[in-house]
Amino acid sequence: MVQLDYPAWLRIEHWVNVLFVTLLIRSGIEILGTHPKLYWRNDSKPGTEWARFTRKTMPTDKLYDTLDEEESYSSIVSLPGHKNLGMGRHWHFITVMGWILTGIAYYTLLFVTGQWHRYIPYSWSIFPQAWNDILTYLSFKLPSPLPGEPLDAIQKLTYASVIFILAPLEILTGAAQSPAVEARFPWYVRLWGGRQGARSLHFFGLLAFLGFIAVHLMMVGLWGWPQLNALMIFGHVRHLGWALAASLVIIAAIVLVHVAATVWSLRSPRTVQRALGFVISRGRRLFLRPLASRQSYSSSQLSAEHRVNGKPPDSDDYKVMAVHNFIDWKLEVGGLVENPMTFTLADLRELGERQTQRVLHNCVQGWSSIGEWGGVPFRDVVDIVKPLPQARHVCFLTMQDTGRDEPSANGSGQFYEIIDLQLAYYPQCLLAYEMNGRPLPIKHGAPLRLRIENQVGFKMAKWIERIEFISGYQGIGEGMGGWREDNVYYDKDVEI
Amino acid sequence: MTTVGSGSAARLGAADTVRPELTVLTDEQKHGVLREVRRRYGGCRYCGGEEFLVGDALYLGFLFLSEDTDAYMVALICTNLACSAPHTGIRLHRSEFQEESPVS
Repeated sequence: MVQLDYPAWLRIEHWVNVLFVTLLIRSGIEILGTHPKLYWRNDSKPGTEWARFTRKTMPTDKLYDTLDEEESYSSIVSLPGHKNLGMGRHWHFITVMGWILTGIAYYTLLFVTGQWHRYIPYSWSIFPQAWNDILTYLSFKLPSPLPGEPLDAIQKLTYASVIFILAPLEILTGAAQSPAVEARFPWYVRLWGGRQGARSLHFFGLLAFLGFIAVHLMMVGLWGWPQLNALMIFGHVRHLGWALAASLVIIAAIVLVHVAATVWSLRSPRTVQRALGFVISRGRRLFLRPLASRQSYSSSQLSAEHRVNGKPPDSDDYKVMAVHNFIDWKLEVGGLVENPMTFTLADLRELGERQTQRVLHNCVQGWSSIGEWGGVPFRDVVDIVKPLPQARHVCFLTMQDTGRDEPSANGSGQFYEIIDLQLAYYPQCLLAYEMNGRPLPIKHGAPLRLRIENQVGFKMAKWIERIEFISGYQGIGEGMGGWREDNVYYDKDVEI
Repeated sequence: MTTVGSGSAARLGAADTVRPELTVLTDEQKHGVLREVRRRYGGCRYCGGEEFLVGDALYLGFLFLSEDTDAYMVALICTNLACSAPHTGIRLHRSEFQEESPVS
């Protein structure tokens, strides 16, 4: 049998894991703070949350949106803190990528070297042994380790649970919150009890990790911190003083990374967005971009109250158009196209075959709802206007003036979003003028909004007035690919 | 001279589906709207025409940040065929047009 010692790779992975797990916890709390409520049902209906981490109450006589519900947490518990969802997402996703790679290496090495024996039990008898160990701990004594092994029974079961159940659970429930995964594999979301079920389980995983870390540190203290620390630094119980010094250096380095990430994110979010986004977007485009939506929820699953983000254009021009049922509204489609066109709402209704889709909406903040959207497939419009070969992206310009209409958002100016032209040809990419069989409500983007079901909600521009085909977006706004990308540092490609 | 229109979406030239936020006004309420139009503007701001059809009302108070909680936008159509902007509206408080009958 292999000697269950502390090889170098295991020691390195341990400390790398400390860094990654703590970064994941803090960035995860930042993401949670943007919609600090947890639900079991896909509709995220206000009042049905089973947990809330906010004291805010919402008005009943004015339209509020989920930006109004956002909380600002301290940098001590969240990365970077202070209501920075864009930054929190960047740190969470870059760390996830590193954590998955570390995990793959760890699993591989565990099984290749035979070190898996230290975690995976061989007999059912370990369970009564583990129970006896718990009773021993409760009587303030230390149980005996398993014969020839470094851990006692309850420790072995706990590590096995964390490594082979809890960590994969967090990855899998995280993936279940990706709109691209949900759109392509609706059964996978159902597996977790729906989108909000996955989010709630993801949160329980966070609590489990926090509990594990607390108990782990307590155990290390009980069993002899200097010796175990030396084992996890040098692989043997010698040079306790040097081991102590080395561990303090490692812990200081980990703290330093956290402080640096926080300060960098708060002082220069644009550079964080560019640097981390460069890596993350490549991962997204490689693994998630190919996933096209195949959703078709039943009518009984439609949310009675579909949540809202963004507020309608608060201008007289818009209100007059609305009270006349948008008869004077016109959609201009131009830019790098052969046939610039102008469409009325009636034109769009008569254009091609009306398409409907019952789909799960994923807000970047974490809530979801299910709606039926009706309209014209965007590819039909694309086919009519005929993009020129140099057209690579599509810019959706809206009637919303964020400084006027959305005081809860940081920034001002006309709201716009840009998508890759490639997405226009996806099967459920829709210019929607209906919702749940009726004209698109004003709060949901009337008269026209975009639906791209493998993306997060903020890309689906509402209150659209112009669509422009472009070769690049560096010269538009701050050049990051949309209003939210420019102003709150979200990522342009949001398949998760 | 102003006139009371039917208020139907068809008369307003709207699409074949009426949006859920619009409220149909009674004839009495439309008369109240026209009184306010005469009092405030006299006629059409774009062509000077004096005849309007009154359409539906849009409750603004809930949807729009800047609006008072009892504010409505009521659709007006100038009946002058030569008018360059026949579709306009008037912002009213509920009490300015509802008289005795509440908005249905």
